Amino acid sequence: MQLDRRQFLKYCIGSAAALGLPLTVVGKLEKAFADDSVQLPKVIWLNGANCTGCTVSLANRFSDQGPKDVADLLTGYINLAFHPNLMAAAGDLAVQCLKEAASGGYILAVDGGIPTAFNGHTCTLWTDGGKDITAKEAVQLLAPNAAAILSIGTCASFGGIPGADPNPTGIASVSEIAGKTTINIPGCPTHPDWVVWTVANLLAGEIPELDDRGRPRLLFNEEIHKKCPRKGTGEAHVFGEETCLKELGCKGPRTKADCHIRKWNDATNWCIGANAVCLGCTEDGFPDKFSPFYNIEYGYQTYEKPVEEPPEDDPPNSDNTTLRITKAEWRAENSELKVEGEGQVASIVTVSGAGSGVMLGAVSVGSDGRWRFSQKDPVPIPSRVKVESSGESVVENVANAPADDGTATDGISKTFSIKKAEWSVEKLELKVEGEGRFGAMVDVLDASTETLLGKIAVDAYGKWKFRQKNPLSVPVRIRAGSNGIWREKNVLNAPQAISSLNRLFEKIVSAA
Amino acid sequence: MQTITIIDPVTRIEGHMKVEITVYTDGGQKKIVDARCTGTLFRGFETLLNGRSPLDAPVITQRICGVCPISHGQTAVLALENVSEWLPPANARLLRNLTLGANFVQSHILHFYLLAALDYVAGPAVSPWKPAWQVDMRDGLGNVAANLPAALEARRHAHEMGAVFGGKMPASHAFIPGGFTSNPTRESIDKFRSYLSELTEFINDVYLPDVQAVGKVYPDYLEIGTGCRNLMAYGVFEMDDTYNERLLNGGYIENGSVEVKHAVDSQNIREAVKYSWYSDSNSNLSPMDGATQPIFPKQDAYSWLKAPRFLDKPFEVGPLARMWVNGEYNRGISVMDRHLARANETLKIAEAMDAWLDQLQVDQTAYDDYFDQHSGLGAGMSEAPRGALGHWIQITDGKIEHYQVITPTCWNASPKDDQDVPGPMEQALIGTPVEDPDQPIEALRIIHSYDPCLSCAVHIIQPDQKPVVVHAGSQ
Repeated sequence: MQLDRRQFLKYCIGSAAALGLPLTVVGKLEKAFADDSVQLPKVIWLNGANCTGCTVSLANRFSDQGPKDVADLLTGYINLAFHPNLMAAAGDLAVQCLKEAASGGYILAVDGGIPTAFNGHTCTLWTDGGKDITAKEAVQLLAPNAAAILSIGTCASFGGIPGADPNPTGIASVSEIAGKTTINIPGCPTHPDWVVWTVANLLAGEIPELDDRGRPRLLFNEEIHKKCPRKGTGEAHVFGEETCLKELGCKGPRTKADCHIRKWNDATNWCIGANAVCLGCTEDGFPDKFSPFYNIEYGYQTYEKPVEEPPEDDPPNSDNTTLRITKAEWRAENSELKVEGEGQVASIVTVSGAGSGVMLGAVSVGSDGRWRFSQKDPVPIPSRVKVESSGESVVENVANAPADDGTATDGISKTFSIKKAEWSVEKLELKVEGEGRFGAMVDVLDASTETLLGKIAVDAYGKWKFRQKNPLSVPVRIRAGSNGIWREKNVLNAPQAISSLNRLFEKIVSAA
Repeated sequence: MQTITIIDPVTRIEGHMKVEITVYTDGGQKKIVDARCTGTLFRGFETLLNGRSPLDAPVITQRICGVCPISHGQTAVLALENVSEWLPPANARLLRNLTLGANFVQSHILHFYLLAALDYVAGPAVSPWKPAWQVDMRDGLGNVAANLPAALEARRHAHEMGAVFGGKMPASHAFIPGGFTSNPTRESIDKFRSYLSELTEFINDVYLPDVQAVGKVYPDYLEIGTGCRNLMAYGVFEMDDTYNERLLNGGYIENGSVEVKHAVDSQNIREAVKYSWYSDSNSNLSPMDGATQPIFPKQDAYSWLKAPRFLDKPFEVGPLARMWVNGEYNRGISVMDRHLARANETLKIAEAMDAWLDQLQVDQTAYDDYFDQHSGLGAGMSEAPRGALGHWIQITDGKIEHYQVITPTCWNASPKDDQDVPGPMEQALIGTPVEDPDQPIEALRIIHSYDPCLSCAVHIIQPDQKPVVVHAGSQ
């Protein structure tokens, strides 16, 4: 189990680049270890209000040579005198180990935040002479004489998840309780390399340069997004897409860490590599600053399958018309809709989805009396098309159209959304805005009464903007729909009382 | 003569725990006659989840525990999907099974070698494995100690395996309601498989034999630490798209019977609070109705763990319970049976993972647009390595209104209930002979056999009062 210092140095030199250790630090380690009489520094590890994820992560340490596991590192190069998750001793014997270590020089490592509610009694660490010792007391006891204090993980560094609103147990960071600067190695959990890197610096007698949040500047010096391999590769709108995840809520642009370079679990993968958004877990303010984590408004995406039934008033195909459809088919292999037919020379033929009414496009009839229309990735893929020209119209089934189970029309659900619903008191104006497919009509309704407030078309930029000045009543919630897809959103600043009074007024009026 | 020993900290567990045992000496015999298990950390996850977007739940609940975060992520997405009774595509089911399975394997190996084994065999002669209680350490297990480095590497590799699809371990954010974020490729499947064969070999050639070796040297522990003899599992690892068949199905037994009853109805789960620091008006509510009104101090209460009960009885959960109700392990209920069942379960899961890898479809999506609902109730019932895990969610107007978690360790380390019936671990401790009340290794062995994970037990708090008696010394 025990490796000698020579091997550790060899490892540090060999992995300096990967670990990011400056060679000056390695040089100092060499000098420090040259003197065999130098005692291994003791480490006292305290568990605050933690989840043990940081210790588990530490046990996943990257290594391609030298110490194979953090256990090697920790037992060969430091003296881990007290660590409740790992130590053999329990109860009084464990407390004795702690006291012995504290009587000499030691490094204090803490994971978990420090609760202050109930005078700290939501987290007690040991019993001493019949008295419960809180994490708060433990930190205050051990911080003054510590050669260095490592706050391991976001909880210890900044409060983290137990400190999230409303912070039921009054979590404080270790440095707040210690009253001193601590070296903050955040992450939820932290990355083992970051801890080893820091410990190696300390062994060499160096305190690494810290940023304004107390984090080693060299490790947390740039936002992930700046050099993310997915930057500029396109926007993912649905989970599972292998491109930039900003639209889904990725916090890479606001998070300083080197996960995109170092990756995780011996560079096996990393969050974004698995198409999972970065959560911003190394930042002060995690989680509240980044919550909700996903750019998806939960619960307001009721999805209804578009109705693809032929309308009742479809005119029958008459023999006297020149307008004809000779082919209407869907080609799945290249996602293409093809509609062809005959018509009056030089006239314009428009092609629409028969059920949805979505206009797909228009073509002109050639001199041979034929017209051809094709479109890649139509949204939705119609199971019936309607073509119109000079007052005539014809409807035809689309061969090989996918079964109408809604999945074919994913595009609509991805592109139709309400982005904003707001009442402006100063202007007495209702504003509803969103995104959709160019050319689609959007119905805007008062969600509670289902009254149609108006219609608006989606512009060429894929955006729609609905405005209404001085509405009879200000809706509390908007329902907007396009091609059978409906969304709802609460209206910001809607005067609640007035709308309900208005509804009461309407009821009285209609009852009269 | 009676002494009370306070073991605080209980080390080599996940989380913070204190155990108080009353040891009674009669003639030459010393025996535990009373036991109180207390968690000493309270964070209030249910409170800090309220008002948040439901999609935040799988992220935040994974931080309930860093040893079993995947189980919380999985159970949270199951609860969310249950609100609309939504079932994800096959690829998602398999990828979840594989990532969850990787964490089970990691957790079980970590538990035996880093947490439990040191009760039976001395570790390396350096801190933190020295000093240790020198009581009843028997010879003949040198091999087990020598396997510690290989075990550390194996569990690290199990996490690397979990990261292949999961992105990162210990916490993975590939778990999302609607499916799984990553897509399997030929290369990633091969990489996963190569880790899996190495780990399966380790389980067969090292882990299982080591557990069996400990059982042979400590055969008395096949009779010690039985506990309440009621076992329960919710079930885990969906085998097909009907979601009606699991690798380890749910079920329960009472009084050590081999007759398994199925269908664990969560309507029959109640949490008692007579000995817990909550208002008595909250007592005996089911998880969906559960309220958490702290009251401290409170007469007779000694724990912030509520006492979950099923059919008004305490139930043990964990690998032994899962293997028992599936007919895979029926030798007995004891300290050593728990370790053996855990090791056997690890092998069963590893072998199943091979088949799941074969079923993955490289060209198919693992995510379907999720039909979320802005109001509703959902329940996710699954398993963590330590036992049955349930998440209950109530969503109103697109925000979490109520979130309740009952974790396996809440079942196992629960305090007494309203009928004064002690929890499973407490029952297992009571009646156990002890050689030296100052070094009650026997108690430690019983506690560790449950693989306690105290972070999970969210309702826990340490009383702000002096203990009844200081440990050791004469009466």
